[in-house]
Amino acid sequence: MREIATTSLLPDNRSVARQAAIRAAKREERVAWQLAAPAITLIIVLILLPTLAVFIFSLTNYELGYDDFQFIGLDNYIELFGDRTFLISLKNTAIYTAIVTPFSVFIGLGVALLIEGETRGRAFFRTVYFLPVASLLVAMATVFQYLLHPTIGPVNAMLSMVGIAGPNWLGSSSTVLLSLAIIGIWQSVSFNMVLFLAGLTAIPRDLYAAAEVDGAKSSWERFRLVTWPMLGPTTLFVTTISVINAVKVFETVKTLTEGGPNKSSEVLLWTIYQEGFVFLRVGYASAMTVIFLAFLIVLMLVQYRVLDKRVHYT
Amino acid sequence: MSAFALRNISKSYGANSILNDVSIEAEEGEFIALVGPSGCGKSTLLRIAAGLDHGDTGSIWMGDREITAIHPADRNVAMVFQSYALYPHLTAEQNIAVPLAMRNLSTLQRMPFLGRFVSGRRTAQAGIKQQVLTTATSLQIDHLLDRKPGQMSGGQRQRVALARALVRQPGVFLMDEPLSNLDANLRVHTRAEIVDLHRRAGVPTIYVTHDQSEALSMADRVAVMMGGKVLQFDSPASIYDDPRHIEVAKFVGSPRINIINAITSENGAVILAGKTVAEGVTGPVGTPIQLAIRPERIKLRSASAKGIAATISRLEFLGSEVLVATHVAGTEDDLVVKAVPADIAHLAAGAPVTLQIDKDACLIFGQDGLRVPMRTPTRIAVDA
Repeated sequence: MREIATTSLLPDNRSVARQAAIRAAKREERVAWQLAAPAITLIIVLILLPTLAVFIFSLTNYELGYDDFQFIGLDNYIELFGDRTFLISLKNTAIYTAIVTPFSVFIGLGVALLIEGETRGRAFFRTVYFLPVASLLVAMATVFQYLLHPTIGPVNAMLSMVGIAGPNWLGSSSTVLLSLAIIGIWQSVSFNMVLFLAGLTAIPRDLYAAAEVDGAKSSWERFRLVTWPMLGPTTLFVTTISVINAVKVFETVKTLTEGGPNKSSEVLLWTIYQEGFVFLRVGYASAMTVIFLAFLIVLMLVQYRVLDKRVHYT
Repeated sequence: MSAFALRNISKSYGANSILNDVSIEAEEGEFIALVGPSGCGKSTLLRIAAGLDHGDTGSIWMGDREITAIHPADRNVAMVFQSYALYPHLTAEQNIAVPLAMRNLSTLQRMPFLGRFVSGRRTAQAGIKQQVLTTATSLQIDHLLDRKPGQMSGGQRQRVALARALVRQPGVFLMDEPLSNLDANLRVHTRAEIVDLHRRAGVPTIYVTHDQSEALSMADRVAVMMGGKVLQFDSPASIYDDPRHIEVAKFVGSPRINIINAITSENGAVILAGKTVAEGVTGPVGTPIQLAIRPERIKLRSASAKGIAATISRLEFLGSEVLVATHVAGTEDDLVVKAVPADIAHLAAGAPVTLQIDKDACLIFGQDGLRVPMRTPTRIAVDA
């Protein structure tokens, strides 16, 4: 409607070509909206509305099974920060992430470099190292339970052979988080390796040739001069993905430790799951989810704001 | 003894022979061009010279020092790549400084953070900075030093790549089609600049290109490579006027040399449309040969003049000259003649003309592609 109104107000000497251009632009805009509509609808229905619902739930005392609920403002959030379990789970998640992320990134890079340097068995090693991504973590958890079993597990059996009394890996509060972290590293190294391999193949071969001619004799010098800087965008992406995956740790906790012993493997998703699905306190669990989301978003923003400029060179 | 030499280099991948007994040497301060169609092995040869690749046989010499088995970093060669191969995360200044830093600073001094505390680093770095600035100024890129490659144009990147090669005094410069990513105008301009740089630096240079005009115009000597072999290694003038192989004759020169299939007659004469164009070709009568004539060595005359009768089939106006494609009865391909516009002022396609061919302009090649020896000097009584 607005378009017609403006057109009629135009002075007569406005050229026909100009009007045609305006009409073409309008038409293109309409088509663009039509083509984008399905995606926009899906984003709203599947992502934005549920997120909004979680946020609204977090302001209520809604519990599953009860008919009514009241808006209680920020009471859930206030309760959260006095909740010892939540604070422990926040701390444990942070420790878990701090262990898993650097190890899985650097071991992933190392494995990728080794596979890239290999000429004959490349496809074989790539497949073998990719297996953990393809395998089901819940199923593999039983294997780890056996491996790390304090009395019949092969890990402790091997340790005892060299005279070390192995700990009760998953059963003692001092080692349980470390054990879970090792399983987490085992799983994400393989995925990170695949991403790094893709990044490595994108580095122009000429740069390595130039580095050699310029005097970079050792492979370490070529790594410092070419590989590491050229992998910058990949490393940033891998790190981000690794952090997100580490913060989301759940399957191993659920299947192996259930947060124990004595809350020493209590992590965020596990706590949310307990509150929401076991104690049915949907409102309270929603508040935790909002904190969880906010934590992730802030982390990503910081990473991209601070680092993105430093790893993209064009 | 030459300043830089590649001797008897051969290389093959499986049954696929890339280089076949190639020898090239450069004298002190000489500019050598390696030219040939893509896939002829010229880039592989350059990579072998740099030490990035290794031949199956042969040796590489810098002066009297054999460097065949020496790591590229210790060969003291500098290379300019077609893609420039600048480090995208470093500024122009840092890029140019890399070869100096790698040589003049110890591993410890180059360590990030820690390197700062190693003694002698500051002095060494000040020296490097000064050298970088001097080189950059001579290439007129001193105002670009704090830019990264992504913020520079193709021509500017090319200069930074040249500066990185020039900044230390290498034993030899290797250039792998450094101009092929530039636009036509800039290419001709930079061509002259590289030659000028070469004269000033006085370092032997091996320059790989697929562009024959680039090779002829820049080099002191040109090696024409085809199928992994050097067909001719000679001065540009000899390559052009006295090609040893028909492939060299065909590859060099624009427009392409005219090739006519013919058979020798009595006294080794070659007869074209009833006129003898060459005499004294060795071998028995009836030997099939190929006659090659440069387009500018054929003269276009009016139809009434003496010579070979022909018809114009096509005209190409190029400004200072005109390419005239003419058809001679009894030949397959048109003969291309380079003429000045005044000569064809009132001629059009279909017009009859006469061609006059200099006797000493005819190059005779045998079926094997090699030049056929002549019995006597070809200058004979003109019967045209």
